[in-house]
Amino acid sequence: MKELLTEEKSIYLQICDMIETDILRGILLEGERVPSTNELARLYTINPATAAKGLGILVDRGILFKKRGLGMFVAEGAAEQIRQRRKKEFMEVKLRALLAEASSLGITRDDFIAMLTGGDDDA
Amino acid sequence: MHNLVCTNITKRYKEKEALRQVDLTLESGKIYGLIGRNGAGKTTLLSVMTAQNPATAGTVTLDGQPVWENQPVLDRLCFSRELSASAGSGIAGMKIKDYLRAAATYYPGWDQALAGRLVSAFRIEPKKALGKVNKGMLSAVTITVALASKAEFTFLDEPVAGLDVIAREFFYKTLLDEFAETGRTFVISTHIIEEAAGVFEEVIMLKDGRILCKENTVGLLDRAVQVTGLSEAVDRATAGLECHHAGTVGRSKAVTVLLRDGERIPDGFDVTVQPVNLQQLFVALCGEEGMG
Amino acid sequence: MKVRCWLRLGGEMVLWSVLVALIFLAYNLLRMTGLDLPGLLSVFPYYILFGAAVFSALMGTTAYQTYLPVYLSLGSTRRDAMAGIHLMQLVLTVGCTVLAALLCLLVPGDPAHDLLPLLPAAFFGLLLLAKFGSLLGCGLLTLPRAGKVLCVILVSLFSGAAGFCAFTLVDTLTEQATLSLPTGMTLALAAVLVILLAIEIPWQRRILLRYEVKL
Repeated sequence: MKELLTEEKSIYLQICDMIETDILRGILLEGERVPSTNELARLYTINPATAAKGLGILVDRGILFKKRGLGMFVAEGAAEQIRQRRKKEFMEVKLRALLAEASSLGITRDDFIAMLTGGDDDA
Repeated sequence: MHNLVCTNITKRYKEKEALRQVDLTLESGKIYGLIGRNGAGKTTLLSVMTAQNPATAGTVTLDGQPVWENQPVLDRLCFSRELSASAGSGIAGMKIKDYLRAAATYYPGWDQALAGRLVSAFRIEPKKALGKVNKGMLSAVTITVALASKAEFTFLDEPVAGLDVIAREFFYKTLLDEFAETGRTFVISTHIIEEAAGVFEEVIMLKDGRILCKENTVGLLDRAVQVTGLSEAVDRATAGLECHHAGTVGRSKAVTVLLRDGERIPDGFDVTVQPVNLQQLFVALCGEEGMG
Repeated sequence: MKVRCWLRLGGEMVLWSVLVALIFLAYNLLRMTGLDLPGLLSVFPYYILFGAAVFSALMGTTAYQTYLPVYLSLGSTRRDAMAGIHLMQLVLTVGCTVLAALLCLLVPGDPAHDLLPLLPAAFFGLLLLAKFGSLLGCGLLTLPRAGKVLCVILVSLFSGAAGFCAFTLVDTLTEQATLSLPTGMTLALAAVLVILLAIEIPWQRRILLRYEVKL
């Protein structure tokens, strides 16, 4: 889990991403407890409230659920949910941005497809 | 919830006004960062809040009770200031252990066990005089007093000046541990902004004796962006928005924007929009022409 | 009232005064031909009072330059600090005077016994010196540079004079083995003390209420 925090994104969003990545990688399994706000605060040297915000977002997304007095746990089906969400984000956000940049560079759609299929042949 | 409230605090000296009509409410249970340039008034504000410096005008209260000359309230506060024990200063001859012993006497909640652990961890030499130790050890003593005081509202003025990076990391971790355990309120003034930014739940920016902003750190940074590109494009993209620290290099322009509620940088302009960190935002808001 | 630290300082000064007295005793011992223990012991109380005199005057400046800023920075009220300074001086004076009195009563011989009736005068004299030191301390805090320089000069002159008096005292005692003061001295000292207090207390209060802690 202990990746370094970067400056590209809000800290609490990075916390979300890291926990989701850990769930996908099998570091955190469904039903297991995730680190508490205080543990995250200590791990990343951040304010517990910031960590809480990140965890709160994951609870809202249904990735985590809270067990009173015990902490936050990974929800059933969380891994699949994360995979779906990231797939959607990849197509709708990242790919779209890539296409926009390609177009601003004058790369046509055909060039792009050619690059994609050409790449498959090499791989 | 306990509140430390400054109402209309002004501190005037012959030459200048160090604090101008400062209104500030500190809620208990948070870690605040107080940032500002040298001379902005950080130390003066912290001194006035803890009755170590009389205000020219205005009042400071804790739960409605005045702080000035009020022992029961002063017992709940701790201001651990930067010690500068140069050869000529009055405290240069005082031994560290005597200073710590005095602290133990004055802070009702003093935790001797914690003080002992911090003295070892920072490798403080209690038998030495304050004037004969390096800046790092002076910072360590300041931090030890602040944390071991167990005061409800603890103020630290430049606690990490003089500490090397590993000692600084240790300080932040110890601070967070103490906060997790006790929920004490901490107000930390610092120049080393970016390193500490993650630790502050709220940030207070002081400029020329006035409060520039007091906001939840994450919330503030969420609404700050840097917009760069061709000058005309940047101007059109940021029209009507709160812009700061605009700088041009040739045909390009960079500006820091603080988005208000509901605002965003509109799509369709060929500009780069990047998040801004606390230090960059501070420079944008408090920097000046000629110095950056 | 949080004055424990000040009281402790007063107690420490009593110990330091005894130490100074012991140093003088050692000096006497070295100068003596043959061991005259009763003679030595009978001047002990005088030396304790001398030690008290030195520290009473010196602590004036140290209290304001070192301990006042430190205790205020640790959350003391100015009221307590002011009371503390007075109490510290009282502890030093009373402590040393009582010690001297006890020694006078316990030790046989004239020099010691002669001291007993002089003790009230000594008590007021010591407090006077303490007030003098305190006024000097106040001056150092509030006066501009010229005032500070004057204070340093005064302290040096005083130290020189005190040192001279001390050695004269030693010589007088070892030769004459007696000491006496003019009549009415006690009352005069008490009167001057009251006058100094009348100057010190309002001035001190004014300074402390405006004092800005800087460490």
